[in-house]
Amino acid sequence: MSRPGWLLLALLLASTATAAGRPRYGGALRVALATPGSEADALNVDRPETAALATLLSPPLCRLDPQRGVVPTLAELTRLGSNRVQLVLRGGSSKRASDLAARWGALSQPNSLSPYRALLGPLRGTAASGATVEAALSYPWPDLERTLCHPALGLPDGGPYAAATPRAPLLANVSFPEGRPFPDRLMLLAGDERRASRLFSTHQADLLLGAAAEDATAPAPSSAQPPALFATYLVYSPTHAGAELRTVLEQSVDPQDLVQRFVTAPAVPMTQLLPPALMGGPTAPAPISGPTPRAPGRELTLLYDAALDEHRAVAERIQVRLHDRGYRVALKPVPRAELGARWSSGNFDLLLQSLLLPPVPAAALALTIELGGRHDLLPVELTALGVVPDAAARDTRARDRAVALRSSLPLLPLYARSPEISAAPTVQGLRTDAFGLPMLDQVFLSPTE
Amino acid sequence: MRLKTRLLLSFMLLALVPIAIVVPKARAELRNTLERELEQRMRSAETATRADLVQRTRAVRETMDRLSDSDAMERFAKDLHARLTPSRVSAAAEQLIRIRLLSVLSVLDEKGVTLLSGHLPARRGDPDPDLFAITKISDPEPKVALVEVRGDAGLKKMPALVTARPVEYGELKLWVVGGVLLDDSVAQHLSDLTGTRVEIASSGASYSTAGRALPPLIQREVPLSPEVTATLSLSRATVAEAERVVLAAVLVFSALGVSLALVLALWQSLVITRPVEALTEGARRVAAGDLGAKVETNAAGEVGALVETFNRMTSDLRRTTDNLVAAERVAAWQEVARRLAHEIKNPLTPIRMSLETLQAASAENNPRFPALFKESATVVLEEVDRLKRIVDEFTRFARLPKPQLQDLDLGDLVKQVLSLYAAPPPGISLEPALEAGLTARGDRDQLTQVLVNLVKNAQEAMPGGGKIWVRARSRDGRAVIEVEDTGPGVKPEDRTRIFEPYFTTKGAGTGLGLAIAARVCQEHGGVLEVDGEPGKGALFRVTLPRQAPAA
Repeated sequence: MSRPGWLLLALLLASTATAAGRPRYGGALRVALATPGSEADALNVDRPETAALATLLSPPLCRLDPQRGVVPTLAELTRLGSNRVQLVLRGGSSKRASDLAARWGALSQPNSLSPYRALLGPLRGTAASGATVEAALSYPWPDLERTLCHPALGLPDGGPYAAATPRAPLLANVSFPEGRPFPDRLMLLAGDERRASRLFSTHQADLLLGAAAEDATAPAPSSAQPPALFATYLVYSPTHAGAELRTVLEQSVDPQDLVQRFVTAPAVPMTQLLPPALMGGPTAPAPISGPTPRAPGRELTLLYDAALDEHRAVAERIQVRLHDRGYRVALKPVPRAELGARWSSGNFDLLLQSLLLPPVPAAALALTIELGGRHDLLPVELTALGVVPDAAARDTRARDRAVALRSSLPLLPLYARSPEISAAPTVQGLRTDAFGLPMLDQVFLSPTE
Repeated sequence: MRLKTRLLLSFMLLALVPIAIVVPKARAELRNTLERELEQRMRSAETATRADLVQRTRAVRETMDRLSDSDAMERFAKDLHARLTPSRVSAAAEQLIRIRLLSVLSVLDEKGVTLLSGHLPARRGDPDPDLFAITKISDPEPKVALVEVRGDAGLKKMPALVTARPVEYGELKLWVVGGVLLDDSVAQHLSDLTGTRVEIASSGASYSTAGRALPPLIQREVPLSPEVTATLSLSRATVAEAERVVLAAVLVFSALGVSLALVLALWQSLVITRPVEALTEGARRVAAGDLGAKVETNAAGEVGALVETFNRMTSDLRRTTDNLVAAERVAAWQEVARRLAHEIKNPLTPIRMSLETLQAASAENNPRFPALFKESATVVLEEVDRLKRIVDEFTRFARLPKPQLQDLDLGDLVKQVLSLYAAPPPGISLEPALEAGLTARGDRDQLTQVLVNLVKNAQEAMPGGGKIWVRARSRDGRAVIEVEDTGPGVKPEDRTRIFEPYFTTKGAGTGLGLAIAARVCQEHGGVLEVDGEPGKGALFRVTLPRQAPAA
């Protein structure tokens, strides 16, 4: 399990360093990553740590700062009317604008394999012209500015770092519009949790992502943690698995139990469709009603991401719990791409899916509705939310709708993760954005004493 | 059944009977031997299985003893006691499991709730009554119990050899339950060890299987617990196969032996039967009249002596027959000469007496000389005529011409002869019975003479009248003409002589008629026979071949 104490310590040290002196350019940032490989495409990241790394190569259009709100980095958004927006790419070429429009166009297709297409739900169409992308909306969507900062909607390349070859260190992009990152190089040291922890504890790495440091101590207070927005859901198919399965899942799968015993990374249980970070705090478990159905011998297959030990442990736990209710659940690990394809086609009984939710309740609700396969509900719900002009009131309305829709979507919220990150004292300027992702392009290395 | 066939069958029987007796007995003996060997193998397998289980039991006991006293277990208990985060506890637990060669390991709290499970990590936090029941057993020896594990299609129960050990750390009381699953790998090991098919099962449910054994099977159950058994299976197919192979070999060799016996039997039967058949043919030739028939064969031993004796016998028979024929011929000619002399002598006496009468009358100048001369001359002439007739008939008998054969309709021939008797003497009636289209090859004149002679004899045999039946018909491919009368018949003692020349039962007759008729029939390749019941009539039967006799 991550020890966010390191994060707290790093934040304190970073602020001290910032106060003490100017950031320094140069050097190589060594990042130990507890995963066999890193995913460069933000649409396919399977954990918050890899999402943070993906933003280095495929940057979001803007940064959502917990304090300052939307900070334009690569693009300026201008509203041309209630249903028209204009996006001007900074220092961008017409090619980058057309690439962005093409990426959005592909993502918003009905046959897209990614539930992130819900983030573009209000868009009716896009057109690229020079460095400008104009988008037409189907209905007013005041949260568009905040939503566009999601990494899944970023540019396909041109981030603060670039990879010369797949295994080579990432090199600083000196022409990055927001300014070149401080370290010249970023060296990814991938391995399993044990190796990554060993690298960090033996000072062979400056940052540890996705694993707990070996000398980690007691957990930090939850208030100091970045928001846990990487949410995991158990999606079921009422057609294949039966509608009565919902009651069985509600009664047998305990998110608290999962977080406490089977998810080693920092995580919070989800009792509502949206994680506590979006619901304004911990929420009470949903009431469970109805008799306990039993289906002796009923056979189901649970698909999960083969690359995630965390999903395997959770899947095994669900298997055990459903076994006690008379279900025979076969576990089938599949590649993430196949997982997306099976979800998109509806060809599954049960599957585990994790998403990086935006820190915007309405947009996060759109994602969960999409994940639940209720694409038809999207315009209804988003139109109703879009007419609320006040952001706080809109967030509150979205939370209410999330509670209301919880039992009508064929999915069960399980838990939400935040990144597990540890930093050496030499790492300065480490902060997280409103997504809870560490902004690795902001860190710099202080000289060792 | 021919001798050759009988010999062949006898030889075959001699070859087959021992096989029929020996093969089933050998097969039964072979089966018993193989069954005993199979039984011995099964006993060895059972012993090896029990020994392996004892060894596993000891290994589990020692491992669990060491584990419960290990530093790793103490660290784990310490982590739990310190209520560290699940990840730290899990890390310690993983280390706990990894270093032990156990496939079942759970740490339970004192209420039976799973704090850690190596074989089913997802059971953490749940009570495990199956394993907790192990903690209630006071015996430290591992027992076989059903343990929940993860399978391809969900959870399943598997038998495992498990035992429980208490672990205490301060006020923290734990149970560590561990052991080894009796899964496919164990079944495979036992199968490799014993050479049997191994199935570990309980109450009809099969948990693990390894090895192959084709039915029919010999099985032995090794109880692992009151509920779980390991069933060892050996295939009887190998026994059946060995039996089949041996039986096939025996049958092949038997077939070869029988074939060889058949060839030998054929050869021996030929060796034995060839001279016998030659003897048979020789006897048949002798019976057919070839009295000088010789058997030419290379027989040895008793059969060779028999052939030699047969050849000597036919030689003797030929010689004796020749002598006999010669003697009979001499006797026949003596008889003919005697009868001819007798016949000639009879007329000589009246001739002499007449001539002496004339000589005496002439000497006495008997006046009656002219009358006597006339009377004597008449007598002499009559007797001379008689002599002439005797000589003519003898000449005709001796010079009987060779028959001129032609196709004859015997019905027509008989009708032609009967037409000569269209007006028979008073009291005589002729009754013809002729088959139409009855033909034969014959000399018309000679056969006419035969029939006239027979009808005439019949008439003369019935001076007081009677009936004469003349029949012509075919019988057994030959043509038969019968002449039957109602006269006195022929006495049995006369029947053998009736066809001899100059034998007659009539007062006036030359005694050559039937002899000539018989000879005519013989010249035609046929025969003339006499039959009938004495006192009631005589029946003469002419039998002729339908075809011409062989030259």
